[in-house]
Amino acid sequence: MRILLIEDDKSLGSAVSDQIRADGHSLDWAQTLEEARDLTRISRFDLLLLDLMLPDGRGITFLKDQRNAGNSVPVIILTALDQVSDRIAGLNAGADDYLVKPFDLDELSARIGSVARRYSGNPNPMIELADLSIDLPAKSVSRDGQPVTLTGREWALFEAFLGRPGQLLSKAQLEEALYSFDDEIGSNTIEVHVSHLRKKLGRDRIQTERGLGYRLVTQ
Amino acid sequence: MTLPHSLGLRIALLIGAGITVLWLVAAIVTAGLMSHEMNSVFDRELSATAQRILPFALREQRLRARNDGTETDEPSRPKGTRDEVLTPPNGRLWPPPPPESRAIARLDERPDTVEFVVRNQAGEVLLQTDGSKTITLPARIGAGYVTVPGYRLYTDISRRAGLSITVAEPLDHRQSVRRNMIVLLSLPLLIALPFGLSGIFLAVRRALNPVRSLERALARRGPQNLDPLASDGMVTELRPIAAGINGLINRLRSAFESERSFASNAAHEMRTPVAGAIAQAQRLRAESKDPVAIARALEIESGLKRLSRLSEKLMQMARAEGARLRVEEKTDLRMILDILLDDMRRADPQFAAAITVERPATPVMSDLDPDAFAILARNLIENARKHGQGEIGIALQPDGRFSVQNDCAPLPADQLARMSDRFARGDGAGDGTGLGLAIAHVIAERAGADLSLYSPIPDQKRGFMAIFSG
Repeated sequence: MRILLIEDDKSLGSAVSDQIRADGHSLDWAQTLEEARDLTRISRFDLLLLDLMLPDGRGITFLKDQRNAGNSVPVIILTALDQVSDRIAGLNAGADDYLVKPFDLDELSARIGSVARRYSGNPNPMIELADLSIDLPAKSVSRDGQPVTLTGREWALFEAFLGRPGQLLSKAQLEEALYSFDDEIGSNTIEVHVSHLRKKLGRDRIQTERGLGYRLVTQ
Repeated sequence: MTLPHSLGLRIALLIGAGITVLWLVAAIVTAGLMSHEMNSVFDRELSATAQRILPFALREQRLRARNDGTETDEPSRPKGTRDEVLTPPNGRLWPPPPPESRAIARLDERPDTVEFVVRNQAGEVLLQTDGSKTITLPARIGAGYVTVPGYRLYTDISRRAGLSITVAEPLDHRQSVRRNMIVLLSLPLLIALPFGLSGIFLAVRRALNPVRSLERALARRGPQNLDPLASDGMVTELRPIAAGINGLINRLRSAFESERSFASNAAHEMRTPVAGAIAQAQRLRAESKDPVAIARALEIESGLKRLSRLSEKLMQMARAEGARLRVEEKTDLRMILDILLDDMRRADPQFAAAITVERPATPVMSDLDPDAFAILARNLIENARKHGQGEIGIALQPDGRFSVQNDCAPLPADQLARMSDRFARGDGAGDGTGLGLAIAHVIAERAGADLSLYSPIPDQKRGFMAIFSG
């Protein structure tokens, strides 16, 4: 997933960035609302992590602006404001989840996964896909009951497919999922990883639409 | 003399005392004036008496003189002047005195009446009443009034007859009349004073009604009510007081608000760096392969978490003490409880599984500040988790009563009593701050609600239960 972190505290921001990258997501980090606005204008994110008290304004305002502009990106608020009324205000402004500082990084990872699953239409963290059993939080896949080992890159790519099952994903969209691993993604990186995934999960699991992209077969 | 504390009584007493003094002064002055007037009336009476008696005295003397052969008894017509009447030129008295006039002794029968003495120019007593013998007469005989001990005297002199008459009236007669007059003048005061004082007191009471209604308005408000006093229709004298109170209320409110915003800002200012440090420690733990470094990172993390919990409790305490806990807009307590439990469930799914929640199907609307209720509920639930075993029962009643109960050995009574003290800890407290129940108590107290702790749970042998009724 491509995640945008909006947080002005450097210490927290760097730890959160590391955690999210270690989870296999790609991450952009904005330290002000202005930066966040610029980034959302030029890129499409799968999830926002939003602090509420930022040097140039309140995160709630930013969230409301995004929602008013029709941006339905999942948003998790990360905040020091722990009051129930703040939480209600945040959820009412269109946040999907609310995490009060200080929080466990593992809990953050879990919440990111949970929100993302809800958005993909299947909130169940255990996915059964024909002969595949996938445990999203544990990042583990088994085929006919036999565990399949995926590398970080392969999992990130597979998760991108799982996020939009049956949909056609362009090479550029898939590249974004790997963005956190390779600063410079080679011209055939996606093909290489797709081919590895096919080997491990079944040849027909991922279809190629020539010149358009790839699609995860759900049957 | 110390005045009573009641303003009404004070005013009534001062006015009453003033009126009493004025009345007494008026009575004394009136008595003085009347006594003066009375004296002149009495004096006139006295002189009239002297003039009435003198002819009889003269006649008495002549009769005696005739008996001695010195006087004739020829009738003669009076000519108008007193001396002529008393001593007609032919030396005869007209009209002839009635025979009863000799009965001088009859005058003595009444003790308080007039005495008289008739003397000649040499001062020899020619005729006198029996009672007059005890009277000290002035040595020199002169016409007019004179007062001697016990008597008022009037002396009239008939120079032609060479006689003087001194009429004496006992002074105690006048004194008793004066006394009676003073009593009669004061009597209405004695009767009117109690009525007057009660009247004044009632009138003052009535006039002080605005003070009482201000007093009631102040007494009615709870400790958290910082609304300004309504000054519509308030009497002029109370307006400065109401304005002063309102000024004080405003200052208090802004002090409370700044305290609250300080607490909230401080919470934010502390949370973010602590969150950063905890996150860094967690990353260190995740990235390190060295078991010593991992242990150190864990140590740092747990220390930071302890710090974070303690600071959170202190902030909650500051919020509970500094804030207004009743708000105008009512909220559904079920919703707050849901958010809270949802939060706790996600933070610790294992703990959440041990909770049973009982809540009504209809909204439980309350004017309690939602954040305060959340803090209170969280503290009670966390307290149950920390000190209890097994299941935790949470119940929200339709009337807003909120209870949390857990299983544990019954607590000794003194420990239960200590529970609401600040920083009090149960014996089993591991990493507790000891502030949870104290915060809940402060919130209940400041919201004008009630928080009761029971152990064992009523009608049971074990357990601990907290009931908040707000």
